[in-house]
Amino acid sequence: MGPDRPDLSVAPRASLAGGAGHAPAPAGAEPSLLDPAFLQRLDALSLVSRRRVRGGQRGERRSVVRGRGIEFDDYRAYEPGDDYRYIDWNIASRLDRLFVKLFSEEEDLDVHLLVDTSRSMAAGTPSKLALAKRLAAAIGYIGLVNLDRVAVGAFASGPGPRLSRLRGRGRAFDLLRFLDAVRPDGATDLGAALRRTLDESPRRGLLVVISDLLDPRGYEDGLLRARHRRMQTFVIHVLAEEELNPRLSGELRLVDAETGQAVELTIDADALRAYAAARDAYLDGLQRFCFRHGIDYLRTTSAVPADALVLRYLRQGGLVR
Amino acid sequence: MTVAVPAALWALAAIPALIALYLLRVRRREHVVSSVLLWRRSAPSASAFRPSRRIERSVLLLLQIVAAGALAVSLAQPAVMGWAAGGGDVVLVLDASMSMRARDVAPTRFDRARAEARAVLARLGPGQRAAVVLAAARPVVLVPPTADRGPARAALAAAQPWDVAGDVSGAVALATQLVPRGRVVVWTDGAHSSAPALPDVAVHRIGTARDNAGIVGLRVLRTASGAAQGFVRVTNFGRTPVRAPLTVTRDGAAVYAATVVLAPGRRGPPSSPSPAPACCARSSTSRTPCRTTPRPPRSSTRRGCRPCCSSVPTIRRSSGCSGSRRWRGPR
Repeated sequence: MGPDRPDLSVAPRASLAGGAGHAPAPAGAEPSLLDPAFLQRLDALSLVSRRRVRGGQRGERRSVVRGRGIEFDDYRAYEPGDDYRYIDWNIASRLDRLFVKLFSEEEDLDVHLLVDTSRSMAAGTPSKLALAKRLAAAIGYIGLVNLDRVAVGAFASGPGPRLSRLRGRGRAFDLLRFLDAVRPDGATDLGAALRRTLDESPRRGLLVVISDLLDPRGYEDGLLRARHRRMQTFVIHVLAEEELNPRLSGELRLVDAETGQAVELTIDADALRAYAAARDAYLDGLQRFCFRHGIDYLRTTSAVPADALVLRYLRQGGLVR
Repeated sequence: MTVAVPAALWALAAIPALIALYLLRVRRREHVVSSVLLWRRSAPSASAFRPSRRIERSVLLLLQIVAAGALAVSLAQPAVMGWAAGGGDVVLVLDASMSMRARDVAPTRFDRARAEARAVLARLGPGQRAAVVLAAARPVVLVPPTADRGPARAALAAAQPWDVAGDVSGAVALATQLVPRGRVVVWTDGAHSSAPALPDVAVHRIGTARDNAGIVGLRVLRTASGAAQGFVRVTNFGRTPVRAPLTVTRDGAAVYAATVVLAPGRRGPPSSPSPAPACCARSSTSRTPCRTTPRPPRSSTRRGCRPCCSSVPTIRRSSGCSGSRRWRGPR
């Protein structure tokens, strides 16, 4: 956990105090997950939902439910029993028929954040987990600010800690504290994590998976399960530079950080070429899989700063606007 | 190609041991990676997992193997046996003893020696000089050392065995003086004298049989009564007793026929070759040619007097006799 330590801290006092109105925990001198300037820029953003949601509470999303919202949606013929306050009298005077105006309800969006905390996420400088936490904090904060229901979960080999039903700017502190406490441990089991997340939240919504997807069991099952549940899925694939272009040579015994499996090989130019081919095939297959199943996909290395990712690439990717 | 010390080739066993040591030497560094997933996927094409991969990459091991192999081979002292290897001059020595006329090798021993000498001559390099020496009763230099192959070939073609024992030792001594730093190749049947064992002298034994018996002398005397009397001397040079028929013909008609038993290393019984008086009585003229032929036991005589000597390979054939006791050369 040494490399991750500098990046972990609670959110700054100003942003939380201003938004929530309760006393935050002391921040300390370490760099924060989200600094105030970044938070200010995040305030202007909102998460994009491609389809109308069916939320639980009133929120800021156009809902599939028509009712007492503000935004006009449609007309329909008056039937006995309808609230006559919604009769459009202008049309009644012109056509001599009664129509009622329908308004779309604005409801909240379920945002599920899944952060991979397996041991492989400790790789990279800064570590992949640090970037994943900052991304999760930023996306979660955007959701909270926009009155969406945010659930964040850490997953590794087994069910990790989980924080659900966060709503409102005031819960940003809880989100950041949760992310702060996350440590890399265990192996990656994306399928089990997604299964549990989907089982616990029957409502459709936005699912953001932040992981390196280096799962020996494969990523396909879990992501397909999310698609079958009609989740709008966004995969942020975080890789370390050393995984994309390993700078290794000689007689090596490569030990898997997660499983402890060892591979003995002689790394020379041929081996590196073969690795590059395997890497390209893997990334290409992943990208094609996501495209085929309507999953948004963004690949990044841990060296890219989180604010640039959120403000620029996630905007281009269509997750925020 | 041969090796002088074949046992030294066991040192080649050090090479597998070297490879084994190299393979057994564990020197892998451990390196923790976030996942070996992609490394495993790259494995089938990378072939980086084969242990032999390390050997392929090791120049050091290659040098060690080469050094060990060279050491072992040099200990074994390899050598090449061949005519063309030496670049120096060559003297071809042919034994011209009468025993070289034997037919135990086809067509005769001398012809075989001549053919082999021709082959050696043909294999000589362009700069090598060749000489031909005939080991007759006294050594004769047929062709002095020359790079021209023509005279040597002609001399080989014209050479014939003599009717006496050849002086092989003297011929070799003469040959070594002809070309002090060259090689001497000798073809002899070793019937009379063996060639000296010198480092640059290669001796080729011609002939397979060990028997050696034949007529060594014929003498015809005129008696006081005017009749001719002949004496035939038969000698067995071999080591085993020989029982051979002896026929003396005159103008195609047998004048004497008997079976002689010759003890090894001895001349025939002094009385045995004394020609019959009848023979002598008929050969009244002094210059009557006569031919004698020892024949193998129980073999049919072809044309009466042709030498057919499958069991008596070495013949001393006197082909003609005269009162002046002069031995003539072969017909």
